Parts: sequence; C-alpha cells; structure tokens
Amino acid sequence: MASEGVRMSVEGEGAAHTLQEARKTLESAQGEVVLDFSSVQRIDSGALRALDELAETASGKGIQLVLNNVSVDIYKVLKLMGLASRFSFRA
Amino acid sequence: MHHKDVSLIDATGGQNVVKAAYSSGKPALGVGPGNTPVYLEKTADLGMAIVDIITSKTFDNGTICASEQTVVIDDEIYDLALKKFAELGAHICNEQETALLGRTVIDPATGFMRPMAVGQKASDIARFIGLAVEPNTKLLIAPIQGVGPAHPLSVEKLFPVLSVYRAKSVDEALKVCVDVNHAGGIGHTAVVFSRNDGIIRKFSQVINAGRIIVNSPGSIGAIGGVYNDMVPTVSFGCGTGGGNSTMDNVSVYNYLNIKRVARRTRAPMWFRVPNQIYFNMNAVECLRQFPSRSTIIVTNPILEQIGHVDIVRRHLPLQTPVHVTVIPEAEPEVKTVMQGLEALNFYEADQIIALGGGSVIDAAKIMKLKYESPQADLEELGAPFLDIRKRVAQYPTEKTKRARLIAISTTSGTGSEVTPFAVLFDKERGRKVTLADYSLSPDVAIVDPQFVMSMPKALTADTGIDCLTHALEAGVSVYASAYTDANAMQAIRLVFKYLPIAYEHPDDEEARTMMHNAACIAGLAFSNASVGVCHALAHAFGARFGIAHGRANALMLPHVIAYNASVPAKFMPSPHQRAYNAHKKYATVADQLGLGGNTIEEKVKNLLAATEQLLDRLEIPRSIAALGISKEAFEQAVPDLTMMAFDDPSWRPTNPRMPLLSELSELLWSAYQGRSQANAVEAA
Repeated sequence: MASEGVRMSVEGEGAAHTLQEARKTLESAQGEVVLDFSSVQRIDSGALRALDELAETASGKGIQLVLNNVSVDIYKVLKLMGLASRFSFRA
Repeated sequence: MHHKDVSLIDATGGQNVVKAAYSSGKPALGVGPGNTPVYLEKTADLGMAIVDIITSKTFDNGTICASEQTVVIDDEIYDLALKKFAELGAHICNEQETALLGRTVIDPATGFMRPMAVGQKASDIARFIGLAVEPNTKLLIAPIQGVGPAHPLSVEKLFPVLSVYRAKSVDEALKVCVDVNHAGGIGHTAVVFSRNDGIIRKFSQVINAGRIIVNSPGSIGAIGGVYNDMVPTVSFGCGTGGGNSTMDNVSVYNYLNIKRVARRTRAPMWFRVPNQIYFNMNAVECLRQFPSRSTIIVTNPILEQIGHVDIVRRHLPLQTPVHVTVIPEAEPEVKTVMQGLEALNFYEADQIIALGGGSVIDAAKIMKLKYESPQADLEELGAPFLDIRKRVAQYPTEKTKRARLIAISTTSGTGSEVTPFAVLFDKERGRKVTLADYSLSPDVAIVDPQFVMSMPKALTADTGIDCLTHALEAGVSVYASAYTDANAMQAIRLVFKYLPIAYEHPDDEEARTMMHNAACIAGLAFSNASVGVCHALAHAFGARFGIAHGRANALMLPHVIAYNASVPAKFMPSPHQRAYNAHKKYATVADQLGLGGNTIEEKVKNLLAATEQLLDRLEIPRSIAALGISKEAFEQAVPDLTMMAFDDPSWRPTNPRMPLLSELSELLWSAYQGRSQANAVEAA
C-alpha cells in the first residue's frame, strides 16, 4: 500500500545502514520522505554513498527527500560532495 | 607564457588568464573567484563592524575579490545594523529596488555580475539603473532571502553593492554562509565579526576559505600585513576547491626554489625502562611498600594451584583487599582480556599484580590499558608503524582511572615485566596482535627466582631460548646502542653459562637466579632495540601450528643468525649505525663467549655452532618437521606465514637485513627441514 509523508530517524552510529534501509521505504512512498538527522554527529563515506544512492532512487520515483535537523558540519560535507542540491533542508 | 625563459607564471585576474596559465605547460600559480560571506554575529562590536565593512567594500570601489559580498546578520541586531549602515552613507534598498538591482547588475543569462558595473561608484550605479539615492551614497545594500539562482544578488559583486540576510539562529547563519561560500567562492575568503570565540572557531571549521578574517575588513584583511600578520598579497590562492595549486597569499616566497642541505645526523635515541626493578631471591618482599585499596592478581590456574599466589598475598601490606583473576589459556585471547577487565571494574582496582609468564603479563598490560582508558581501540593501536615515535595511532594519555601494574615473572623468560610490548592472540583471524608503547610498561618489575624454581624442563628450555633470542636480536638490531648492547651482551653471557645448568639441575638456585635476571636484562635491551625476523617468523608459524613462543624462536634462531650474518640482498636503512655490521656484532658475541676464531666468518660460525650445541643440550627439536607437522600442511601454510611474518612489526625497521618475501619463505623451509649437526664448541 502506498504511504505518504514517510518519516525516518537516521541513527547516529549506523547512518549508512539506516540510509540503505530507507531505500526500501521508497518502494512504497509518495510525495515526500523526511529523514531526521538529529542524532547524526559525523558522516562517513559509507553514509555519503548511501545518501547518493537514496537520492538517485528518489529522483527516479519523483519523491522529494527532505533532511531535517542536519548539523552545519554535516551540511558542509554535503555541500563539498555536491550532494546538498539533491535534498531539501529543514531546521 | 610559452617563452622558453619563463620558469613560473603567477596569474591574477579573471579565470581566463588563470586557465591560460595552467594550460601553458609551465609551472603556474593561479587564483580563484571569491564570494565572501560575512557573519555579523550578535556579540560583535557593531559600530566597528559596520565601519570595517563599509571601508572594505568601498576600497577600490569593491574590486578586490576578497571584499564582502553577503552579510548574514543575526536577527537580534539586524535592524540596528541596517540603521547604522544608513547613518554612515549606505542606501538600504526596498523590495522593488532589490529586484531592480538583481535584474540590472547581474546578467540573468549567466547569473554573473555585469562587467560594466565592476569598479563603479554606488551613486553612479544607482543613477545608471534609475535608482534614487542620496548624492554621497557609498554603498547599495540589498536584503535577500536565500542563495542561488532565485536570488541573483547572492553572487560575487565586484562593486559597492552588498547583500544582507536576516538569520534567526546561529545554525541558520552558518548554513547560509556555507551556501554563499560554495556559490562561487570556495577557498577564497570569509569574514566573521564576533566576540564569541566558540562561534569564530565554528565558522572557521565549516567555511572553506584560505583566509578567515576575524573582526576586520575583508579586502584589506585578506591582503595581509595591515590588520593581521598574514603575508601581504593581492593574489589569493583558493586551493584545489577553487582550482588552484595553492591556498596561500601568493608572495615572493612562492617564487623561490628553496634547497635544503641535509647532513647525516645521529638521531636522538632513548633508553626507557621501568624505574623500579627488584631482583634476587625474595624480591617479592618489596610488595610491602605498595599500599592499595583494591588489588587484583592476574595469573594462570597452575600458579594458583602450586601456591605462588599465596606467596604474593602474604607479602602485600596487611588488610589489602585482594582478588584473583585467572587467565586460562597459555596464549590469551582478546576475549579473555575483556573478561579480566570486568574484574578490574567490579573491584575498582588501583593495583594489578601480573603473576605469570609473558602471556599473563601481556594480558595484564592490556587490561590495564582498557581499564584506564575504556575508549582505547586495540585494533587501531595495533596498527603497524615504522618509528614508535612517529605513528598515526595515539595511545591514550587521558585516563579515567589509574592502577599501578606490578609484574612478577614466573618464567626466564619473556622479559615482559619490563617491556613496552603486549602480544595477544586474535583467534578469529588466527594471528598475533602486537601492541607497543612505553605506557604499557609495568610500573614495577619483580624478578624473584623463587617463582621459577619449579619450572618444568621444557618451559625452562623454551623460555631460556626466548631470552637468548631477545638478546641476540637486540644485539644486531639497527636500533642497538651502547645502552642496549651492554644489557644484550650480559644477557647472552648469562644464558650460555646458566641455562644448561638450570635445565639439567633445576634446583640450582644460582642458575635459576642468573637466568631469571638474564631474562629481565634481555628485556631491558629489546625494550629499546626491539627484535627482528626471528620473532616475526616465530609469531607466524607459532600461531598457526600452536607452538609455544620460546620453542618457535628456538627452531628459527640458528637459521636467522646465519641469515643476518650474510651479505643482505636489501640493506635496512640504518641512520643509527655507520654501516652494515650484524656479522661483526655476532663476532663480538663469540669473543665475549670465548668461542675463538680468527676472522669474523670463523667467529660467526663458532657462535652458530655454540648455539646449536646449546639447543641440543636443551633437547630442543632440530626441526619443525620433528614436531610432527606434515610437509603438506607446512607447504600449504608457507605463503600465509610468509605474509604474516612480513607484516609483523617485530622486524620493522630493526632487523639488520631487510627481508624479501622469498627469503622469509626460505627461512621457514630451513627451519622446517632443520639444522645440521654443528661442530661442538664449548662456551666459556
């Protein structure tokens, strides 16, 4: 069954895993998927790759990915990696 | 740019000239574009900041690429800031005027500033686009709501037009500054006005700019030498983010080719050992001087059974709470160490007494490490290194708890009671993990021969040869020094004299005492000079085939002596020694032992023979094959063993010969096939 406005919390220490799992959520999502980054203090290459793949999948399905409560340190990394433009950000 | 006499190009200006410089085939320094964000934070000296911004933005009519472009202002001071700007000659644009500016001074087709506006006065720009302003207007200020194509004035504007943004929080302010920074200004310049050091540091961390100007004008601040001590320039390198080869303020220093004449120097060395070593019979009595609120004795089951633990208990100060934790295996695993750690935490130990051989003492060292610094990552700390003083892994210095580590060795021995090394068995990967740091050295070493009187023959032989191997390897190590040689030579003499006696007459107190001291003395030597390929190979096949460490060393030792004494295929870089001299060191050992010989070759041969004779006397098997390991099994293991030995830190960078993989394999096969019957030469 399709679901709208899906919201997921990204784990601080297991961000890559959560983001990989989020791709499964996209299968049945519509409209907007919100990922809460409140617990995420650091981001590694695995999580960045997972985010990239998630954005790719979302783009293919016309789903808007919204990242909530991203710290400025993570935001800076996303900008450096050229990933920031693929998401919307909310405080 | 292509002229043959041009050696270096320094290109400052538009991106076209920079690109031409980099494409010329000549070494080039270029600069990148700027889009300077400014964070005007609520704690800033507002009056000073406003004057600085106007000074900077009107300097050369805003043509300096480091000048302010978008000022992000905290909500609390936004209105006051704009009021002050206006009082000092700035025109604050309303919504329509901002839109007009955005359509006119920025080319909508490209999103970049229009060249015709560059370097023009504010009043001229206003007149040109039909904006009514006061005659002496210095600056046009345009409030914007974001960064990007929908906000054309968020780009670089090399004229006196300044964008401002109202930020409702520090987080929002920093993110908008990052946005501006990344919108065509990576690596260039950024400015922060604040009296909050934490904010300044955070800003500096998240912004990618070669110049973070604090509480001063952007353009003149970035130029350097006026408001700060930066090197003066008008060429601002933006680093690789900006497509440049440097992030410097480019100056004459970048034009210089600097040569360095590096004379050979004798590097500073060290001799680090525990500052308390108690030795000879009943040295354990020294325990009385160590008060403790909670003592854990780490030991193995046999030592508890034969009463050694009771001896230790008796000599502790009265009413010391004592608990015993037992290491069951001969070669403890990581898991065992973690279980011992639980005991330390449960009893809140302030003293750990490691009573046992090398395995027990090593386990205690690691327990102490994890107890005092729970966050220590053993995997990370066990990473290989070339120089113990210069490595990536940092052993923790901050400790949540402290415990005195007293090591009482019960073999003669590994010398672990004085060494900075701890070796554990990683069962999952089937290999040994070596930790090395002087913080691991026990605080106190007790070398009391009463604890070795009952050592069985095989253990006496194995640990005795381990001691000899330590001393011989330390003796020929590239890191050998006068300090370590003194200890190594003494240990070698003691072993050759007393080990056979201790083996054949286990009740001989003098022999046991001397061997026990020899093990510690050898430990002092290799704590500082380290060991070599014998240990590396012994670790490898010992772990694979379950051979005790000392015995594995014994099987390897004669072959390694012969190997090290031969001319190397690859020399080990040795800044601490004048030349290759392992063969001479062995010859010196032969002289010390009175083995005779007229040439170095003869002396080395005599040392080999004496070593083999010693091994025979100790009934050490002559080969790995003699242990019952099949040739097929060994052959299958050799490739892995070779790589394990090659990766083992024991020989880096201390073995006098840098081993090739093929040489390590040959050594393994030599040890498998065994040593020949040597001509017996009695050691003096």
